[in-house]
Amino acid sequence: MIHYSDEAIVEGLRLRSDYIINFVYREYFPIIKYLVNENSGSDEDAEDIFQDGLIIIYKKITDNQLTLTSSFKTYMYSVCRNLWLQKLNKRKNVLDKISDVEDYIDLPNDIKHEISSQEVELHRLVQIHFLTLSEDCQKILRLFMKDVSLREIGNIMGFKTEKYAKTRKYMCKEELKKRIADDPRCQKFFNN
Amino acid sequence: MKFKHSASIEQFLSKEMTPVEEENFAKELAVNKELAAEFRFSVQIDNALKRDDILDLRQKVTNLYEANKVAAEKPVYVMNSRRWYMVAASAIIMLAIGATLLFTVPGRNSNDALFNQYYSAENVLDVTRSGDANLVEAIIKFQEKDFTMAAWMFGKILVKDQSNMAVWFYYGISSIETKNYTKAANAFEMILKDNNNLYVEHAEWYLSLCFLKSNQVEKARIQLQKIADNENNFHQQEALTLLKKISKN
Repeated sequence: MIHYSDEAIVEGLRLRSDYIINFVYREYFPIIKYLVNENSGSDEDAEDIFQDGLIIIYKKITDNQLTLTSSFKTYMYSVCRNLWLQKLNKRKNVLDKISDVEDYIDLPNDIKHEISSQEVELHRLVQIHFLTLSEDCQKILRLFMKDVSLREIGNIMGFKTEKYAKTRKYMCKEELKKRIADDPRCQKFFNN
Repeated sequence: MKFKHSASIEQFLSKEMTPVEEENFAKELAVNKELAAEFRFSVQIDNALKRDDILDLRQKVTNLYEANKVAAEKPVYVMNSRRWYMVAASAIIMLAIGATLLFTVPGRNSNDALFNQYYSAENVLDVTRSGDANLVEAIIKFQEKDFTMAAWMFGKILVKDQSNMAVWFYYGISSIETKNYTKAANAFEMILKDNNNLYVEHAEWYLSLCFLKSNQVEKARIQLQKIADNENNFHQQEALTLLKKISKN
């Protein structure tokens, strides 16, 4: 089995290399799953936490703000542990003691802030629903988010008029909003 | 949540309003709580969709979850006794065909056939990875068996720095895989010239295979003899066997 150095993992994640993502999943997901399962969480909770943790780290890498002060494994575990503790707090599920399966570190404030902002969780839910839209809708919205003009979107998608491209984009976004609003997991983000 | 202001919000976010309309919208936004909530909702959705790369990463992780679940759910296949008889019968037939082929194929091996028989790049990746982004990318291409790209990337690294013997080694293997045997031989010769690295034994072996593949049999024989004479060489047994086969040709 191939083992990657921490530097290689960071560079591989920056490139979103399938091999590195696969490696990180194979090596670290079982640890996170164990942590979550041992502390009142389900397998699905573990998947959410692992994914959110990875995205937080990925964003730090692509912003060139990641400074590893420990091994990647400890760092990843610490981020996911924080995410899970926060989620338990939100659920008013207070544990006397967390069963840890790995060493963890006190994370820098910027990462703590990212974890407490819940933005990554909200984005996950939005993105989950986005990926359930029709391929056309996904493509139109992706292009629009990249600031491609409606005229160009119309050309790319083979629409006859710019106005039709605008209508389609509007309908796609409305459909996405509806799906998100109907998801009970999203209510907490939009009720204030 | 009901959406009553979608049209104006989308118009505003898409910058389709006139300056006067924009100003009025901003004023309304400051006093209308319902509009403000709907507006925030829409902006948050846009923010979540702006990072194409994060969408891609999430999709990859989700695919891994799904693949793992499918693998875990695959039923353990239980054969009934009738099937066992069929499998056993098929195995006997296959063995018979295999034995016939084994004893009827002529003993002489072409250099090509010998190369194919002995060349394997499987499991050669065992170096400690460097954090160098170009090197990581090249190694990833190598693992993905995109040897054309890998050879090109390793080659680019070597233009800047010729001191890393690991890079020479993978450049050599990638060159074999892309049928550039001369380039491969040069790479392995660089490793042998350095003579102070972990790749020497492997380089000797692959160099002999490169010679064989390019029909430089005498050179291959000399190289193989060197390996065969060294009882500590990792490839000694393979070299001895290959030498015997060459001498039969």
